[in-house]
Amino acid sequence: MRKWSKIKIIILFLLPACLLYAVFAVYPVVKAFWVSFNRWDGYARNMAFVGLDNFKNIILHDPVFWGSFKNTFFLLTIPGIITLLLALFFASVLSSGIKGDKFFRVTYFFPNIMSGVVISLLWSFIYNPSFGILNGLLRLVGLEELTRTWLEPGRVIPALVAPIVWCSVGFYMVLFLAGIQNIPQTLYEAADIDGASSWQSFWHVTFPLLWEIISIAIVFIVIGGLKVFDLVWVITSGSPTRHSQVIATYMYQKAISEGNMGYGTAISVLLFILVLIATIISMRLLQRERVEY
Amino acid sequence: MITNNQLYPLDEFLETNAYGQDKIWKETFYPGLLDGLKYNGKIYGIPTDFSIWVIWYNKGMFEKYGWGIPKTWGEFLQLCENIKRKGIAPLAFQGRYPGYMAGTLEALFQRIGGIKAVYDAQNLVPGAWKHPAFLESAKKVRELIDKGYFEEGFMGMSHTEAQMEFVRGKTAMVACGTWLKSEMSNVLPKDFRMGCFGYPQVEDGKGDPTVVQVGCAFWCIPQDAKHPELGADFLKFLTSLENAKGFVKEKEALLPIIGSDELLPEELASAVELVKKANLTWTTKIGQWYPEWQTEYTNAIAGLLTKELLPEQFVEAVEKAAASVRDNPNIVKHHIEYKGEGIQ
Repeated sequence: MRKWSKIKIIILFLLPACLLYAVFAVYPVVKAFWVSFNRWDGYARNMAFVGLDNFKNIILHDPVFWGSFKNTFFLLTIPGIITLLLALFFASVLSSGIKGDKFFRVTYFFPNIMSGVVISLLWSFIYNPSFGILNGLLRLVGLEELTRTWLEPGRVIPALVAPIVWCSVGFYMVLFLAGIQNIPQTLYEAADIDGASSWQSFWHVTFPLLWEIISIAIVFIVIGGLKVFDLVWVITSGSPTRHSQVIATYMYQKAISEGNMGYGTAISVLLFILVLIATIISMRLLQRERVEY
Repeated sequence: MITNNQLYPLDEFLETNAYGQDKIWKETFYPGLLDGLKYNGKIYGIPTDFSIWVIWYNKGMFEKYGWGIPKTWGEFLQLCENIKRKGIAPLAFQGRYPGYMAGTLEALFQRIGGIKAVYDAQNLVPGAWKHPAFLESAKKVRELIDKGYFEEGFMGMSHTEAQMEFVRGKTAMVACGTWLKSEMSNVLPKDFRMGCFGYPQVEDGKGDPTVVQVGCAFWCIPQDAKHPELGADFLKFLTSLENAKGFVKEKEALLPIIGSDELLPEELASAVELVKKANLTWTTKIGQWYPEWQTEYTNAIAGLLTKELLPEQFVEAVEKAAASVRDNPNIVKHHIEYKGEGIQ
């Protein structure tokens, strides 16, 4: 009897959160899956069932979708690798007790708390060809030939590497810092006694013990990179041309700008499947022997 | 929404008296605009937020250097060359929104080919978007780019950034709607004066050189409204002459209500003059009717502006997009009626 009343109370406390989750997270996802099998403009009262037509059209007949896939993949790997390397570097340097490490931790982390929209706006001013800082600096040091129109349709996707790295490094740096703090100092002392250089102590002590955290970081980067939307949307002023689409912006354009809800939600379903597969693959590949100490 | 029967037809209300005036409601608006949301003979929208597409120029700069308003395309090109020689960029452009070039492309299309060619294109007549006048218009835009008459780096600027360049005096002109002043109101220097002119006549073009492109937004009433007559009453009040005048004065924006333009600031007054002198005003509707065509159109314009597409390839791409809409039985088709080259 007492066990049952305990369970009742537990359910009572869980109910509000579960309800909210069901209504605002689960229901839209299920509805989206249903809409993707239909043709609908988002306003009409009725939808027309078309089965797998939307998916067929996207996968087989839509070069813009595959272009957006390529761009998404690019924005996930290049900034991702740079972010990881820089974060590891900063974390290991800032945990070695140099002067001013607290200042740098705050400075490097700061961009992470800014919203994606603010970051994009900031960088679109930096990249402005006429009064932006980047071209201004290049002109100042006499490198005028290197000035470019950074945000024109052909260049805007590579131009996003800098803002993405800039706003992500801080987060992963903090993650790795926390991991490094957990490594007992005695291991470093032992390595030192054995005559290890700082690179060797990083590679043989820090890196293996940090591996679990690094693999979690990689999974985050993969998921976030696949879903990137706000940075691309704002820096292209919400008008990405066919060269500058990523999967999420293309989905928005199809579903909302063009009113082709069925097609757009089909893209989002494909994105969902993509993220799922990518996560499973990453987690499998990254499983290494946990180093016990 | 109209084709899905979600909006309430407003004809019965339009035939009744307007608020506070002696006319019927229908006649208080600039002629032709009520056709904007007309479908199957019924009107579904009340026009509001009126804008005119013109070329703005920096009055102070033009006076300083003694430049005049060009009357022909040849004079316009010469003007751009003169401006460029003074080290100023002739034209600003809102490159991150390639769609802004549509105003210029379509104005030149009309100046060269006449309004019937433009309407044919809006009506998706086969081959209409490959009309030699449209190709010529694309070539002229390409010529402006090749001669460097657009500010350097224009493809990377958003609309506010490009318009800032105009307002800061780095460029002499910008093609934009009459919303320009109120959009840039919080960064306008105190002594900045701007004026506007319509697109110049193209030598041996067939089109009437007074024709002006306008646009407006609409108020609608949903089909399921319990009291559509109350909604109509409110809209009548909103569009009454007194309210309209107040709106225009405060927001420095135009409304399509006859008589609301009494107290306009100098810039907007000159734009309204263009409309009053125009033999015909027209609105582009095809982007609204077929949003998937609009996307392809914008992509094609971006290709033209970045020189990725030659003018011939550009018109080919636009015609292809029009054909795919035309051949798609699932898309409801709309129609603009051609009533003659210079008739209101």
